[in-house]
Amino acid sequence: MKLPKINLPSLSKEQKTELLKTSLILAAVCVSAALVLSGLFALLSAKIDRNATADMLAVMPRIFPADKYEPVEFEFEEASGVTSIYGAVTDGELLGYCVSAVSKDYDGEIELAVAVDKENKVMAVEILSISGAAGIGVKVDDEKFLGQFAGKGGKITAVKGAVRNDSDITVISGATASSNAACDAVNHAVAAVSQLEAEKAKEGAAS
Amino acid sequence: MKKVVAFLKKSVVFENSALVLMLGLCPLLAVSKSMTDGILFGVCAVFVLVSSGVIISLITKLIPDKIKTAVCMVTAAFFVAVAELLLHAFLPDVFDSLGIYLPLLTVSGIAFKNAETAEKALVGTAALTGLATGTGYFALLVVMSFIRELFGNGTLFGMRIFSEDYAALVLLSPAGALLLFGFILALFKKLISYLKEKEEN
Repeated sequence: MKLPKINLPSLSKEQKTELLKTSLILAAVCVSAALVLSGLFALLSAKIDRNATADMLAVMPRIFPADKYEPVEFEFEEASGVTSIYGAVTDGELLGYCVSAVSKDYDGEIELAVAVDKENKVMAVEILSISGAAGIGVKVDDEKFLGQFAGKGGKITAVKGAVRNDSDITVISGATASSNAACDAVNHAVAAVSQLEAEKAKEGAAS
Repeated sequence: MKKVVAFLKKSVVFENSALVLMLGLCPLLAVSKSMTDGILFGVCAVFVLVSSGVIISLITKLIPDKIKTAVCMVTAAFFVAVAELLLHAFLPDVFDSLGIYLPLLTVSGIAFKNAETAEKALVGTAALTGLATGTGYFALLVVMSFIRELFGNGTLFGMRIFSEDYAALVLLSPAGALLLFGFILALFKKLISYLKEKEEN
């Protein structure tokens, strides 16, 4: 196959130098900006990392009192919404897990910290962050609503009005989407813990 | 001094980048939900405009015409990234709620217009232009976020002023922001024509 011939404009020597100079200046500007930024990032990245876990570390003692919290390595699908898992340990014994999970809200995201015991029952739930229209999402940050999750396990459903099953919770009227989002996040957390426990049991049986 | 005041008056009021030139509206409508976000975004905008203006006017002689626009963009992006990193490290909550709108400042018309002015100006003038443009934007952000947070949520800086039962939730939505902006614009036009008439007489 014959390649089509491309007619490059013929450049005089001055034009070539000019072009080279221009490109070099642009490259120099970009590289120096990038260098300064990466230096700044190196300075600040430790602080940024600490911020990311600070919320969770502050919330955990309230929802799951324990001596210490050990980060658990996990591999879940992105879609599961689980962002971090900590094992709650007292006197060297693993009592349960604290899971942070996000879920899509009406026009933003809602992030929860969920304490789950080893029987896969929810102990307590607390809000980590709410993005989206302030007035709607924050209604979920209500003790009465979040208290409903305590003691529940399996798949929890958010219903309007009176609850029918053990696994039901009542949504907050006027904030149905946010209530559902919170419920989803809790379900993600419970599912993650049961998956974690199942994997552990498998490993235990194998060894 | 008189010149400086006249210059500030002109660029803060009569050539207000958002209200007259309609630049930078997207972040303006999005981040003015709360006073804290609005004020901090305004501070970031002032920081970016002043520092990129100064840098551009300093290096403009070294830059060939062909790549001036590109260099301006890199400079603006650079300072936005600096502001972003600082916010992420020291005010993570604000960083989260500003979200995508801070990086959007890079490509907003405000930064471009500012860079274009800075290209042809001396360092002092460039800094002053950045400051004036930024201040005009900042003032509008404060007004909008004050009205939106107070009447839309019943709070100011997160402190409750009146019960949320009486708050007009629509003000917190993007549509509410656009409506409010329209009313402010109408009032502003009235004010401008009044001021101009006064000056002529």
